[in-house]
Amino acid sequence: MKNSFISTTLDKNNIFGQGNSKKWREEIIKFSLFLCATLSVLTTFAIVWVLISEARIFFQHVPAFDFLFGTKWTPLLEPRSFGVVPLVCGTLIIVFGTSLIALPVGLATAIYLSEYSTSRLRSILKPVLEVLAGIPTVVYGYFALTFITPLLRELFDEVQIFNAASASIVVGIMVLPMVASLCDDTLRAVPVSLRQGAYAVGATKCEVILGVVVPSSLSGIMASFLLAISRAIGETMAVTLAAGASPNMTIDPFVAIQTMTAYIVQVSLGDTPQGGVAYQTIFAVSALLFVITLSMNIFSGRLLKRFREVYE
Amino acid sequence: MISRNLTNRYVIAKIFHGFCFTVAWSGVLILGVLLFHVTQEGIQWLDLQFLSDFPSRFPAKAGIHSALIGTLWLISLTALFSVPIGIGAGLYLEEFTKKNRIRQFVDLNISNLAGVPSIVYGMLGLVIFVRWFELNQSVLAGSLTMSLLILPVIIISTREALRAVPNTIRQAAFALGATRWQTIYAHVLPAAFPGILTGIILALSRAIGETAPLIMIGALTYVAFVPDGPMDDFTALPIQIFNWASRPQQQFHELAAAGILVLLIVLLLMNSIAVFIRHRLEKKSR
Amino acid sequence: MNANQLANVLSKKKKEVEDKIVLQAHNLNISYDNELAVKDVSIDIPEHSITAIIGPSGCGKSTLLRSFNRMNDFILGAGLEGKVLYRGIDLYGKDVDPVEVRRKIGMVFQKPNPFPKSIFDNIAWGPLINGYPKKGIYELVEKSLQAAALWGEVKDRLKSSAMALSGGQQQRLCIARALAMDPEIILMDEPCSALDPVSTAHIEDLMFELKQDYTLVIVTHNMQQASRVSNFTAFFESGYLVEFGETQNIFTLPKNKRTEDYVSGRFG
Repeated sequence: MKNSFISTTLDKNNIFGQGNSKKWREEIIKFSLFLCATLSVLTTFAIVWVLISEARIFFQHVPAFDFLFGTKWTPLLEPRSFGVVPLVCGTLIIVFGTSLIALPVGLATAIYLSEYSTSRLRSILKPVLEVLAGIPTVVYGYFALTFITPLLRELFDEVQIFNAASASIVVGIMVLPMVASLCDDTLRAVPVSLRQGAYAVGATKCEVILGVVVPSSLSGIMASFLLAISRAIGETMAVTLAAGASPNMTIDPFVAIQTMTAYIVQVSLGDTPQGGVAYQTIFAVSALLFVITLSMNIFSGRLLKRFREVYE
Repeated sequence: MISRNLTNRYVIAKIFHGFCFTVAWSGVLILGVLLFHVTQEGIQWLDLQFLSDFPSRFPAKAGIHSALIGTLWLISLTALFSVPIGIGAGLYLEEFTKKNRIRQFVDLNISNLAGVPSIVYGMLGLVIFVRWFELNQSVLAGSLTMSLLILPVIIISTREALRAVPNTIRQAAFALGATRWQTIYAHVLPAAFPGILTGIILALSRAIGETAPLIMIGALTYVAFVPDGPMDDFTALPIQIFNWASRPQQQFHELAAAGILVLLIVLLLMNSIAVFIRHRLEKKSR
Repeated sequence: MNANQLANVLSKKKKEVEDKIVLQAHNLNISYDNELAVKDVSIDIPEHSITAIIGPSGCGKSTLLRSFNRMNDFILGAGLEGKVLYRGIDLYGKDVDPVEVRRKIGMVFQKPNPFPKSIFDNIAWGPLINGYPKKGIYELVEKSLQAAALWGEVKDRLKSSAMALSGGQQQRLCIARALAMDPEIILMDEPCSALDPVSTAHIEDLMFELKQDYTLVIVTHNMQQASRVSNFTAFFESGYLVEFGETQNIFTLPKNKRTEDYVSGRFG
């Protein structure tokens, strides 16, 4: 069976001609795809450029030291003060509360998913977690304000209408699926042989999990914790709705505070004149936010890489 | 003595198991409570009038029409920008590049971008699209900002879907004298498509629910009209919900709940369509 | 005929064979990440014959095979020195398009890898993207399936999925797919190692038929297969070409002791 349909370009005298138009088309397609890929890299540079150039305007009026270490934040009222520490405190208290909930619960859920549950139960629980993760943050803010806060107020007397605890709880719920999913992947990556070795010396299941499996996945688990914390730092709507707009340096979870993100929203919704120092504060706060979350993400990525290297 | 110790250890093991079990299923409980609460508060306001009226200072007359249409506009434009660029970038990075230092840098870049808080994207949109491009508070500015936000998510899930296609298929196609693009177009993309589609739906679902970037670019919170074109001002479901939830009156809180129900229904519809399409595609390839 | 006449006939035959060398390697060195897998190999593949490449696993057979149709190009860190000539043309020359190379030199893989499409589409795709006229495609598919001895089994279900075929059928489909491109040389990398003995026998019969119109180069770790099927055999060990010659001679009168040890089963 011999057909000669390729002879025109590949006949004995000109065996390897170049299909020119085909090659040209291939190059165009490759180039357009390349442009798409560069856009994503450009975005990073754009973010950095925007934050630096706008924050610079702010820092021309306010020294960085005063900004980073000052403890009074009243940029919109006289006398103006631009110390960002209260906002950072507000963010930190939210992060603390979130971690208290999401990290242990997330890890325990992951342990259940990977070590105890059957595949049937898993097929119910995992989608539920995905739904929890997919609920918009503004819904969580609403839930905090209209359900959690009244509940807390019934349980404790001194809870204010806007408080950090209620926001932390919902952000914890929001972040929980991420921790559970990542830890689940990490735990499952631990080889069966390791577990079997532990059982073989006569350990109970609980001892195998806590003594062998979890410690071997430590860097992966830490990576998931860091990602969760980074997400909590950047969370906006839930804290805006439920935690309040009063920059406050406090550790009391039942009073109103203001996070970095909530402050930015407050200014955007208000009528602070653009271009003024007060308005440019949002860029300075944004820049700080970006630096913090970026560092945590990079660090978390390194931890994950280290974990993968051990097991692959 | 040994058996007593063992009994204790078994007890501890049982308690631990119970603890993990309870904790894991409490997630289901929480979801149930949340949905119940929202439905309980909002269902009374959910009727056709609610869907077709504009917001108003009077709760009885308030509706979500402008926000609903605004969200539809926003999602359509966002999909228009982000889907081709996201898939294109994912294709280029996964099929046309080698694993070298440059690509590692790009990979790091994209996963970092996926973790940047949405409010920072809002900042980006404000300076570049609203001011620099002079698009003001239009649907176009909003959708461009949203596109940048979800682009990393689409890229990452596209790449994972492409990676899952067995390499033997590509090898077979190359051995027949096909170019890279011919192979991708005819074999790799169709095989990866269900995974890519899932990633797109997830990304768009996220975009529908995002509020902070829209607030930053100035999407108005009181809008009593629907956009006629991409350059018009707009509002969106999450913004309207936020607006109502921020008011102190109980009735506005209930309206917010109704708005949330609409938002959740939209999300549910989107995901159901995606699951349906995925099923059809997977059935066809069998 | 006497000894002289016999010698004349034999040397004439040898020259005939030498005139029709279609594929050559000259001092080929192939490395992965700077570790040599193919060491200074020179080999001449004669036309319209079956050449078997045998040797213990990991000795570089597949690497050599893949260098013939530039499939090594896809492996990161693969380096090649020396020449691979197809009818005198250096396949790795500057203005040679690897895509064109693969249209002339086809490949069948160890594990059958049909596309997740219909039987018809599997075979039709390659020719169609290379400009084969749509009008004649059905005939081409039929001819390819017949040449691969698969037509009778699938002619009533051309539109059904190729993934539903058995392993042996899938491999014959892959052969038909390669044939549809009208290559001159077909490279086969252990084509029967994933198949049962009955399918293997079918494919070996197929190889006999194919060599009339094509040149086959087969990598196999099955010595019996090599001795059954091939005209020429090359024995590889640790990346070196130890011996090359007519199959009969390699198996009954090997010149090299290592060859003798391998074919008599003392190792490998």
